[in-house]
Amino acid sequence: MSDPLLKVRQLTVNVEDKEILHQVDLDIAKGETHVLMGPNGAGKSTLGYALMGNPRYEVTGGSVAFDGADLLDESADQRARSGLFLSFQNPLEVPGITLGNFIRNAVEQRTGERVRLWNFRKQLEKECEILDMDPSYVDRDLNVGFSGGEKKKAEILQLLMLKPKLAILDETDSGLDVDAVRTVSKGVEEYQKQQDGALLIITHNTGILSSLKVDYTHVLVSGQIVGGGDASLVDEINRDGYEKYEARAKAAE
Amino acid sequence: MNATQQANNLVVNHLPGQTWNWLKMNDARVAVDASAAPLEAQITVPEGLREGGALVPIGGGMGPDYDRWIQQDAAVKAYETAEGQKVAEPLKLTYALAGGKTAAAACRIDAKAGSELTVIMDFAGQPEAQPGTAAFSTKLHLAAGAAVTLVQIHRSGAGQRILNDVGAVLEENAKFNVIHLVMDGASTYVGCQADLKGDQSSFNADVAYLVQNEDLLDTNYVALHHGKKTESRIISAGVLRDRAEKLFRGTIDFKKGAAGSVGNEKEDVMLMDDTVVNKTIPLILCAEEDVEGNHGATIGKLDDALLFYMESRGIDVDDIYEMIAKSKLEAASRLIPDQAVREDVQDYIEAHQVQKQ
Repeated sequence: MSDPLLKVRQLTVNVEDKEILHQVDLDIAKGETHVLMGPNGAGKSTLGYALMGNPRYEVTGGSVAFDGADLLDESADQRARSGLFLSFQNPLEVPGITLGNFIRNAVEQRTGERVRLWNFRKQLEKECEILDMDPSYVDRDLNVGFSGGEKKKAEILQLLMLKPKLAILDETDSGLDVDAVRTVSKGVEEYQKQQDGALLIITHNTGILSSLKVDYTHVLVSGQIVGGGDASLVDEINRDGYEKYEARAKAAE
Repeated sequence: MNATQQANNLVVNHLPGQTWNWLKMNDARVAVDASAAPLEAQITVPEGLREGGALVPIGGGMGPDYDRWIQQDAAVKAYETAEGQKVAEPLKLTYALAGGKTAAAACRIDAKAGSELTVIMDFAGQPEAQPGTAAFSTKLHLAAGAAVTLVQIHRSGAGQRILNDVGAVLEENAKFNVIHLVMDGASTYVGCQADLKGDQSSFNADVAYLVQNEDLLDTNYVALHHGKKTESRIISAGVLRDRAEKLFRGTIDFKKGAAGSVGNEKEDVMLMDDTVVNKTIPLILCAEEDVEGNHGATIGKLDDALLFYMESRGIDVDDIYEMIAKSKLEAASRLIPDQAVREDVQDYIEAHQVQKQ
């Protein structure tokens, strides 16, 4: 097997001097869809933030290779330009910068090329349609006054426009109603199809996975990956909970 | 300028309530030529708007010294609406600033009862302009129920000194909106005073600025609440970079009898470099008990969480600051009611204003 797109080895991460992730290993190949599950406080978001390079999350050990390069040497913006994307659980509001201008700027940074406005607008409108999103949002200030659902759709709109190699979706489905989850799932499926994009989906429920083919499921408890399997593991956990895995984590301490 | 040319030292932008003298914020001292050349504007007068109208003296934010000085030589234009007239198109005055000798212009607006008017003034520097001083005075009377929006665009270019005074008196139920966009200029002094004389009259000021290099912006916004249930709102948002200096004075003055009035002022300043000088005096004066005055300020650098969010989309820190700087001006430019002017200003912001050094 050739080198995976993402290769995480023995990753240890501190937040404010407290170790949250302990020696995590994870491989994701191009085009694969991985699901990361775990109880609240297990460290799932920490993994996402640490991979994206949030300076609050201090990597104290291990290595991360992304597309053959050492990811830990790069700043967050460099990681994004290399093809990594993080969809935020709580996207931030940016007054004064429209969603459209923000994406245009990000696309120009990602591709290193000036974006032709007409083509860009056409593309944006097309992706908005997939997400059942009113195109007028594109001219509104980024996330300002957006509902929870619109904020999540705006995240997936960015995913579709930026075309990363690997997208980490941090509870993109949380707080959404059934219809919104379905729409977001459709957007994620579109990304997979268009880009053969890899996914690491952090989630508690199966709604977002409905139209996706899951390759691997990982279970993170107390900062350690304590289980894994195929797509059926998602259903198993939804049925039986994390009890078994919590016992494993305890035993490993 | 030599000593004989700069014969006047004006005290401008006087703070209505004094603070410690050693802070040097109570007013600004400006040396000006004894005389100025009249500065003519290129004017687009909308259909139905009449020239003329006599106004009683109206105080402005720059103060009486400035009034006396500019009245001597300014080229004066005066307009009046008819009662109930809704003027659909804006009155546009474009001042081409070539620098050189000090130049002055004044505009008087008499908005009759129930009328509506938008006035757009563009202080536009010319390519290859010499350093110089341009002075402006705009005075308005808004009769009962009148609504006037005044947009003033400062894009004089480097090396220019701009003095800009606005004063308005509002009768009952009148509404006065001011949009100030300050995009460049070596030193800029803006004074703006609204006298909310009539009950339920209201004043809104939206101010956006970018001050960079070693430029200076000195402002004085004053809402005088005389009438009952009057409202004022002063919002200032801007960016300072390099060794720029900015002084914002914002006063909400509740006079006796202004019962039920509300005043809000808010400032949002982003400091891009440690070498900038940012001074702010929010002032709320109360001679009436039944009033509500609020002040809020956000001064500083970008929040870390916001910075990370934007970085995570591949935008580097320098570019994020550029985007945020530009966004302050763009947000205010979106308030310009005339589409052609709005797009022109946005193109200007895009092309000239926020560039990496």
